[in-house]
Amino acid sequence: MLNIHDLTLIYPDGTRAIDSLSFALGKNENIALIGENGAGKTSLLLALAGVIEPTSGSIEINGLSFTKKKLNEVRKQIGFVFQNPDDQLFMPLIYDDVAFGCRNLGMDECEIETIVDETLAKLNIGHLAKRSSLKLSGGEKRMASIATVLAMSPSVLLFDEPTAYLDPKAKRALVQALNNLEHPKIIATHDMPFATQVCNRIIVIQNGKIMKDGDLSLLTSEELLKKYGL
Amino acid sequence: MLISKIHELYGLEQLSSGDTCVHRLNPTAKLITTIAFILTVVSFNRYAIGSLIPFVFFPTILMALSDTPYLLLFKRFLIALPFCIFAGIANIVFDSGVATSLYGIDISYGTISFIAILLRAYLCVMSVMILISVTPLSEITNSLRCLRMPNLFVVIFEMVYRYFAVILDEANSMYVAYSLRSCRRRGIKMNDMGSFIGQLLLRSFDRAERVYSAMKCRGYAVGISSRKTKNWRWPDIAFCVTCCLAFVTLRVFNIKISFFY
Repeated sequence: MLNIHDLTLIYPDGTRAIDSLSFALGKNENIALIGENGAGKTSLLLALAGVIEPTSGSIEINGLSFTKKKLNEVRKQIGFVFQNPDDQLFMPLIYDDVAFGCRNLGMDECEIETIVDETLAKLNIGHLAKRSSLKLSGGEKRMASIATVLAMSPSVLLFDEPTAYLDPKAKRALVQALNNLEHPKIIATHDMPFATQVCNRIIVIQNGKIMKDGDLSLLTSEELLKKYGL
Repeated sequence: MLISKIHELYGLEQLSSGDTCVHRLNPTAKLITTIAFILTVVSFNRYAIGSLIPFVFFPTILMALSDTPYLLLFKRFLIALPFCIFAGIANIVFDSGVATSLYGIDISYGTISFIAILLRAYLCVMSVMILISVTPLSEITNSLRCLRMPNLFVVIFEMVYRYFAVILDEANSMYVAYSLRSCRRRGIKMNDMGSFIGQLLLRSFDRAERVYSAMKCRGYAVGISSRKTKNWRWPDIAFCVTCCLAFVTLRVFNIKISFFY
């Protein structure tokens, strides 16, 4: 589904954020990307979402290669939920925020209305449609930001620290919502209990390199986690 | 608090999701009519209070038809009021010739032109705010593109509007953090102002980058409208033509409602 081959990302200041990284995401996989601060998790997600251009290497989604010309097609296939939901909610109403992507895809208003209603209902936040993001709680904002990408029917979902700013109740709701979504996911997180509840594969990153790639049993080894600054 | 200003700023745009006959009108028709209204209002001479009064009916009728709360709009007009007063106050001093007397009180040309400036500002600001409160911003910018407004201008307009809240939000967080560590002293010390504003710009820039990335991820492309253009229907044409004709008639025949001038 998503193939990353020999991906390297070097920032203009010379920082090597991602270093020859390769892995593939299968259809039924939910990957937890774990690693200490500055390990390169967010940079990797930004590169996968087509926000920043990698220095070298290739990314392919459903057979579609990431090139400048095909960037818009690629972005349709990848839904990226930012760490801070405020970055993602910039329209006056949640309805407009969820409809934003669909409008950019050129859908007509009737179709958009149906999609928005269905997406909000799927996440149990239909009541937020006519509310402003400025007046929502952290958990509601998080759900709304997920709805904004789900409305575009992406093939793969990327999450950057989805449990940040959430209380336990909102976290439980998020776990349930994510488990109900069939999309393959890559989730960058520091929250190990959350990772065990949502993911079935763990990738440990350090200095932009994959140090470990395996199943949930990786998280049970305290020694290993300590070794990689977790 | 700044955060309440952000709520106020976008409170007006939230009204645009209403469903009245004014909301349903074609956005380009509303935009053309508003532009025609403003051009007509500013075309009168500086003492033309009486000629401006009939124009009060346009915003009043639109507000009534669109269920727009008058107080909400008037509060926003009050923000612009000091600028209008500042622009017109000098007229009272420099244009002191007596124009007329009202119940024995001499009224100068300066006073009349000052009142005319206030009235003109009221009409223009209210008409623009009504337009915003009955039309989503994306439809307004779409209409501007339809009217062949330079794309660069429209994009800048869109971005300034969106990022204004980003700057206010960042300023609010910084101000709260500052005041908590400055023994709750009101305001920001002049000594700290430079670094405060510098940091605010850097943080806003950083945040704006992230917001823009989120927009790009959801298919936003600079200069390409995200909404399809609405077709013109007979009610749109009727509204636009009727209003524009009324404005031209009032202007050409200079119909006055006047007590003293």
